Amino acid sequence: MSDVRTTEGHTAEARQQELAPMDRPLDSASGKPHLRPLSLSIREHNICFVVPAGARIDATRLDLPGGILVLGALRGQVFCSHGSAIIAAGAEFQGEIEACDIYVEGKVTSPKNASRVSRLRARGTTPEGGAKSGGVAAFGVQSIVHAHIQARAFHVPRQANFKAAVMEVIE
Amino acid sequence: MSNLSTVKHGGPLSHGQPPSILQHEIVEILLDAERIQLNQFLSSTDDADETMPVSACVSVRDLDTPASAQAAVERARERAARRRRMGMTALGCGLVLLAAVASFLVGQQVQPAAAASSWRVLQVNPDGVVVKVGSSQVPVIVGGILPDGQRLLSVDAQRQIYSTPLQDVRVRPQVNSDAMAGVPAQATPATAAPATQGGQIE
Repeated sequence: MSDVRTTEGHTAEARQQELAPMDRPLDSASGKPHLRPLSLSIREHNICFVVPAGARIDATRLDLPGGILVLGALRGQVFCSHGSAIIAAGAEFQGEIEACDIYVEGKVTSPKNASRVSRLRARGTTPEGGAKSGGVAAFGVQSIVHAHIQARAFHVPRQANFKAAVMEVIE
Repeated sequence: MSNLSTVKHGGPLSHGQPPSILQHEIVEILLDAERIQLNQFLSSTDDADETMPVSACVSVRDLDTPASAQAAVERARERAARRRRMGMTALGCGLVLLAAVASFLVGQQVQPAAAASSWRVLQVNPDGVVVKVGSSQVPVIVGGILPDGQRLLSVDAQRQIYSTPLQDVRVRPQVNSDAMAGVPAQATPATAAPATQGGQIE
């Protein structure tokens, strides 16, 4: 299960300095993929709901006014009217999720005996009177995905386990 | 141990939060952080080579903020649309080229065959003639074009004679039509000989 590590008492500059070394290639000699931390603002991604690490939630449907951060296990239908859905490393999701943007580091599985696979939909945002924007589905290198993914744009590393995924670019 | 880590909320949590506290602020308080770090994403130096070749693929360096992600998505979609347009254009050009080559080859095959195709006038009617081209019979009215390209100027159904700008031809009952393929067999050019027998040639 995932846990939450925090760093306390740092200014923004200090945090940037702290992040900078991780932005460099980690192990160029070993040939492993170079990783960088993706730092997402809770405010900007409008996260309003958290499934804590260690928790298992079997929900029929969650209608959320903002985004969701999954650290534990969540099954069900999730609709985020604003904000992003983040499935962190060690977390597992099964079902359908719709949000403006979707970030996955953990597992997205589908029921073994069901005809319907899990579905992730990054629909983007449509400002009032404006054109649709955003709508990215981004995946970490260790993500395991068995789902139908709909998004306006993708970030999918080759190292991710996508053998049973369907990716669809939507308008 | 998870790779997830967060950055601590900037200010100390004060008692008596205003009632209009925003939802994400509750999460920030719960996590005691204002940012979430996902450590399993490819670095910006090589992610262009390491990401799957999907259409509308964005770089991880653009994902830090929703605004930059939105801009990256739009750029990626424009790139994908441009690639699609280029692909369709190339496909169209290829098809046109293929069609041109095919028509050239077919034309080379067909032209000699057309030139060598047999035709003859079967009979002369009051309004034109009936021409046998290959195995089909085609009526040609006065003013129409005969298979050899000449215009049919006039006909005399009673005497079975038709006229073109170059010759007047009398149609006679065909004895062995195949032997005269390609030539109006019954014809005798009017200019070649004077009419001597009942106006056969005029």
